[in-house]
Amino acid sequence: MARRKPSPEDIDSYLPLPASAMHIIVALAGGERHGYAIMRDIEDLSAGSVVMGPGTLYGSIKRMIDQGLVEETDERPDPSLDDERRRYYRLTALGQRVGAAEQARLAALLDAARLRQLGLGGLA
Amino acid sequence: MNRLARLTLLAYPRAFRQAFGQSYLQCVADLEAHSGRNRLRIAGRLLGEALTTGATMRWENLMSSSKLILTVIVTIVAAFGVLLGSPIIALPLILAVLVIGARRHDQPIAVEAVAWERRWYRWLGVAAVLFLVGFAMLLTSEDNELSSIAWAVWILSWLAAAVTATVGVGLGLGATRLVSQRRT
Repeated sequence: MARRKPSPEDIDSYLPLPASAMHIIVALAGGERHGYAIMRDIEDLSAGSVVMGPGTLYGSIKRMIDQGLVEETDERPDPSLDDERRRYYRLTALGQRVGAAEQARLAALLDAARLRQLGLGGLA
Repeated sequence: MNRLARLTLLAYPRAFRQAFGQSYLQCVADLEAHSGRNRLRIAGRLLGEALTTGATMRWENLMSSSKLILTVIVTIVAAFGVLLGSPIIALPLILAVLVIGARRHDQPIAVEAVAWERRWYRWLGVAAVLFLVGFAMLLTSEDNELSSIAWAVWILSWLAAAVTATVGVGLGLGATRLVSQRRT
């Protein structure tokens, strides 16, 4: 079935988010970050199970910018403290709403899994 | 490592390289300097991503600019089908064109997609010209009898007009949607 084109008027049209996009949203929920910091954050938050390379990271960021979920910040840190070539990204208001909707969707899925005792041998 | 990173960057579309090339290189430099991973592992990841993510992005990029090519091919095949006496072949092909024209990419390369959708009026202009060509053939016919060549030109031009008009309307609707999205 073809996926609906995402529209800001319909948050559900963004769901389900690709896993890489949700990881980036969670990383940016902690504040604006540059690419490498996002990568590290994703790795730390997933206890090393998700390792995103620069191609996947910037490919996802590009799509998320196109969809209005993420934006590049205009402010640059003090060049003496950071490399000027680094670009910083942050969540937009739409990105926060879509992230919250995906969080609710995943929470409902987890609740269903718990109800069916998936972690207690429910499949046995 | 910087050289390898520049090389793998070539696997990605130009629009991506222009927008994110420097960030990509900076990220690889950070990986090498701070991640503690050995260079071989980083190189393996870069190459793997170039083959998978790079190829995927290039395919998406190609698909966003190949509607015209696909439309032309389908139109020609449909026209030949009609000329060879099998008009029925045109129906599924016209449907294919409608699908191609209406298909929306979930994750377009935005700059190029926007540029294509802004050109909807050109498609409608071409459709009008093609329609007039076919109409002219009808007007110049004697006793409503078309020669085989005139008949071929007439059917080809109107078929092509229908296809280009459909694509033009589809792109126009897409452009309208983009404008309304930006306003919100």
